[in-house]
Amino acid sequence: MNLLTPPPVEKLDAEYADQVRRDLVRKARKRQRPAWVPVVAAACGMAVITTAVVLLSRPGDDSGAPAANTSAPTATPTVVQVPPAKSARVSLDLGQATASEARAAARNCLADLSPREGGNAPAKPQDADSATVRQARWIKTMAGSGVAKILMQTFTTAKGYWFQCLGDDLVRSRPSADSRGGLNVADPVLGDWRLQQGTEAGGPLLLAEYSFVTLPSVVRMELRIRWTAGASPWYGVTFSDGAGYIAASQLGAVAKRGEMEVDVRAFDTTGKQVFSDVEYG
Amino acid sequence: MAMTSSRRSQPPAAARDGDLWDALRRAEPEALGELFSRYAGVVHAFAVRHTGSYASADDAVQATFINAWRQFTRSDPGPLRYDSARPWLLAIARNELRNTTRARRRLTQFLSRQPAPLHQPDHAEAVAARVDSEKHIQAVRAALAALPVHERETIELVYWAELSVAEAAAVLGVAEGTVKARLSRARHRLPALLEENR
Repeated sequence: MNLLTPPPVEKLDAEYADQVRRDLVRKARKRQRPAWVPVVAAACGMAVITTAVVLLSRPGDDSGAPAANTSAPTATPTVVQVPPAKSARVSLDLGQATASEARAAARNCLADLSPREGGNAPAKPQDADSATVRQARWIKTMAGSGVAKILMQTFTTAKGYWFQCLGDDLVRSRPSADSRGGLNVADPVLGDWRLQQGTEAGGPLLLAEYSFVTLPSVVRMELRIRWTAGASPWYGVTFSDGAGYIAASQLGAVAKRGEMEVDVRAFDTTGKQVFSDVEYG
Repeated sequence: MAMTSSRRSQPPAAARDGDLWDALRRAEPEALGELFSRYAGVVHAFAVRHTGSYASADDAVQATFINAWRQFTRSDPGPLRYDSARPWLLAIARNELRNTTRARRRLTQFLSRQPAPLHQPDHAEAVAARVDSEKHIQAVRAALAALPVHERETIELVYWAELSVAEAAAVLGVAEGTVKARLSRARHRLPALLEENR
């Protein structure tokens, strides 16, 4: 035993580290906003409304409002703020997949796992045949993704290992379906973002994807993109088993910090909103 | 659709810790995420070796980065020293571990007065590997226990966490000469320790 040699330590689990990182950043964002901000925002809003009412109620004053002259366009484009209720809601649900569709995708998903894990893979493709499918749903995909729909499923193998797959790709896995991995009532959703910039019809196209795990009580997730010229509808999916996937795309939006934001919100079985967050890119 | 770029929603990696440090001084939450990505592994290894427990280390990692963020939001810690945030983070981790060690000692005393719980072994391979690792670390720490606490900490920081003497001095809040002296004394004692623990 050489006491000057560092004892070997197993590396921090990558998935766990990712969750902790996102959790830290989210909490840091929440703490950033001082308590007086909503009060000041409300006061500013009331001031703007009062000014507008006064200006509009002045009779015969159509010679050009001074306020209009002072509002010079800013050099940096900013993301527009659109109240959540102002955006329409669009469902991306395309119904349940059949057992054979789910099994075929599960085999491909586990085949994807095997080469990565070498001999230590927790499941083999043939384990899909005896797996218990917990949910298998077709989801409408967005412009830019290249396919019309994709199958999102969760299942457990006979040994109890839990998997979430998107099409033929493994999204995440864990030793047990019951593991909650840091989720609680205060933080009922943990997810991974993927933002892709593309082009369509000569213009920029932003594709935002979000794969997530939730508390079992959460059953619906919605996503919308806000950019410098407006906001997309809320795209929504229904899911079960505390896991899902959703995507949104927006023509004209650019995947650049400060020029786009992605809103996400989640609802429980009673329709109550239990989570919201913003991805700034 | 022609993809021009594809990435995860993470901030661009700062070239140096100094850039990251400046972003933290501006209280940019994403910089905290980047700091975590860079140093969570280092803090985790330090905490595991310090406590001999992976569970305690997981808690310590989270607490360290939460406290790190608090320090930036509470007051400006000034410019980065040593070109690396590692010594600064390990200093926070060390304080955190000291506090939790005291709390755990109180909890252990409380539990020792309670009825023994039912034994519930966990046979998962991952858990077994961690248990083996914890046993090894605890054996090494038991051997090191013959050293005074301040020499033990110096060994942990310089040899195990691979800090420079200057960085270890900053973490411990002592002069560089003190660190050198502690290392020298510990090395004199260590051959005997190695013999006793063979």
